[in-house]
Order: sequence, then C-alpha cells, then structure tokens
Amino acid sequence: MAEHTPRCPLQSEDHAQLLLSYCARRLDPARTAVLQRHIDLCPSCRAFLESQQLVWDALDSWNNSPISRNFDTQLLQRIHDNRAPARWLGADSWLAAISWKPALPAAAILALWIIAYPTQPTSAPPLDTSQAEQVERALEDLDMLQQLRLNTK
Amino acid sequence: MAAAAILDLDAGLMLCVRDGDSACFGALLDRHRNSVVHFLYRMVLNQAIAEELAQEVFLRIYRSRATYEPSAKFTTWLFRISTNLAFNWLRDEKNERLQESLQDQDAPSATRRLFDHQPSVESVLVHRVKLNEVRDAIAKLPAKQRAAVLMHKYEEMEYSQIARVLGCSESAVKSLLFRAYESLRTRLAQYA
Ligand SMILES: [Zn+2]
Repeated sequence: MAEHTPRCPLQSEDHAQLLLSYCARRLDPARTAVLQRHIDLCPSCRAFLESQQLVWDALDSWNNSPISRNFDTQLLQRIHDNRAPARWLGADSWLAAISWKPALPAAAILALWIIAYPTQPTSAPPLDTSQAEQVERALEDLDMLQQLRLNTK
Repeated sequence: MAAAAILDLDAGLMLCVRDGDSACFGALLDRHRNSVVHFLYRMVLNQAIAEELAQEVFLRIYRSRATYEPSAKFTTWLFRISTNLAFNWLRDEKNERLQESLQDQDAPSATRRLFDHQPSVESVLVHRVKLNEVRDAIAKLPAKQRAAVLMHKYEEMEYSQIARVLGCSESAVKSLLFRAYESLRTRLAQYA
C-alpha cells in the first residue's frame, strides 16, 4: 500500500469489491475499461491492486492435493452400510457412471468385497441409535435446503 | 446461459437420484467431488479429515434425496453442508490442537507434489517457505472469513451465492471479504 498516497474512496468496504473483481478478471469489458482509466490516474488504487495481485498469486500457488483413490469406494461402503440392501443393487449403474480410470485397483477390491458380502435380508430392521441419528441429520439437511429455498424466493 | 445450463444439469441429476437412479449420484459425485474435497482441505488443512468430511457431505446429500426439490441452486446447498461441517470441526478445541500439529506434517507432502518436475533444491525450499506462508495466512483468518475467501477465490462464486451459503446478507459478505483480503495483503506482503 502506498504510504504517501491518500486512500482512494474505491478502496472503502462498500466499493472494494470492484477492485477485487478487477483483480480476479471478473468484470465485464465495459466496467473494466472505466476502471482501467481510473487506475491509470490513481496511484492509491494501483498500489492496492499490486498488493492484491500478490495475494491472488500466492493463493494460486497453493495447488490441490490428489484425492485418495479409494474415496468413492469408501463412500459407497458407508452408503451400503447404512441403507436397505434391496436398493443397494441399483448402485451397479452408479458404479458404471463413475470415472474409474484413476481408481481401478479400488474398484477391483470393491468387486471382491461385493462378492464376499452378499446383500442382507430385505425386511427393514428396527432403527438403532446410529440410524436414528442419521435420520435426524438428514432432516437437518432438508431444513437447510428449505431455508435456502425461502431465502431465494 | 452456461451457468443456467449447469444449474439445470445438477438439479436434473439430483431429481434423477431422487427418482432412484443411483448412476446419477455417481455423476454428481464426479462433478463435485474435487471441489468439495479441495474446499474442505483448505478449511481444515488436513487431507484425511477433508476427505472424511467430504464423504459425510455426499452421504447427507444422498440421504436427503427422497424429498429433494430443485428450487435452490444445488451447489449452494452442497457448500452450505460442507461449510457447516467444516465450522463444526474447527469449533472443536481438540481438533484445533490436532490441526496445529498436523499442519506441520502436511506441509512437506503438499510441497513435494508441487515439484514433480524435479526443480532445484533451492527452489523447492523457497517455494515451501512461500507455501507455508500462504497456509499460515489462511489458517489465521477467522473461519467465516476463510470460507468466504475460499469460495470467492477457488470456487469463483458470486457475492450473492456466498451469502446464501453462509446464511448472511450480501453486505456482510462484502465486509467479510474486505477484512479477509486486507489481512492477507498485510500477511503476504513479503510474498514476491
Ligand atoms: Zn482510486
């Protein structure tokens, strides 16, 4: 930040989003052109953008780590562990739809696992504590969706 | 136009899951697995915990399928569940202590992955220091500011969507991002 330049009003909390969007290259061409003309004349905004660009570059350098190969297999297992077996059979088509190229070994283990542990009887067992908690959590998530719906109306 | 098409695709897939087609759940997982895991990783700074939380997110989506209605944007719902789970995890004092100890263990592997092309030892070290600075700067942000920055920077969400995810007003998001980027500019001033 330029110490000897008075802070431009564009950098106030209400307006800084314009400069942040400019730095992120998310402004439309018309607004970009107008802002560019201002920046050319405003040393304070140039200093702001320089330091914001450093932040942007730093965040860009933080690469994503690869996800475990057995992520989908574990998720599938968690779903299988907690739901009625009859519907689980429908997961065949899900398995086909997932891109397995990076996870073929996991898929092979899963296939063996399915053979080793055939589906259980279809009569619905009484809810145990963990199932009751799951139902409760699912209801909370639905409440969340309901709230989002109300907010967007 | 493209955004509307993507919205339709996610909602359509979720409706298809609701109707009992589990292949559609696989497609949703393929579309959003990476962004959810990476977002959660940057929130909790630990890959194993991020994956565990991400699995919980998709489990909750799956369990809620029966009563799904496509009136809210799917990714808003997805990130709202993700954010709430991350906040809960971060709130736990025990987890915060674990987080500190794991940050140190996690850093070298994350740095190692940046350099698959075998750079010089010096450049590896310089980059590792910089990467740690970025992680520390993000870790020092309050959880809500952190979530706002991650959704703004990496998910390229609009202010309005971030507001819906965080359950606050757009002006509150403006304020969160303003303060967060101000802190980051100060902390990362040396990152040149
Ligand atoms: Zn200015």
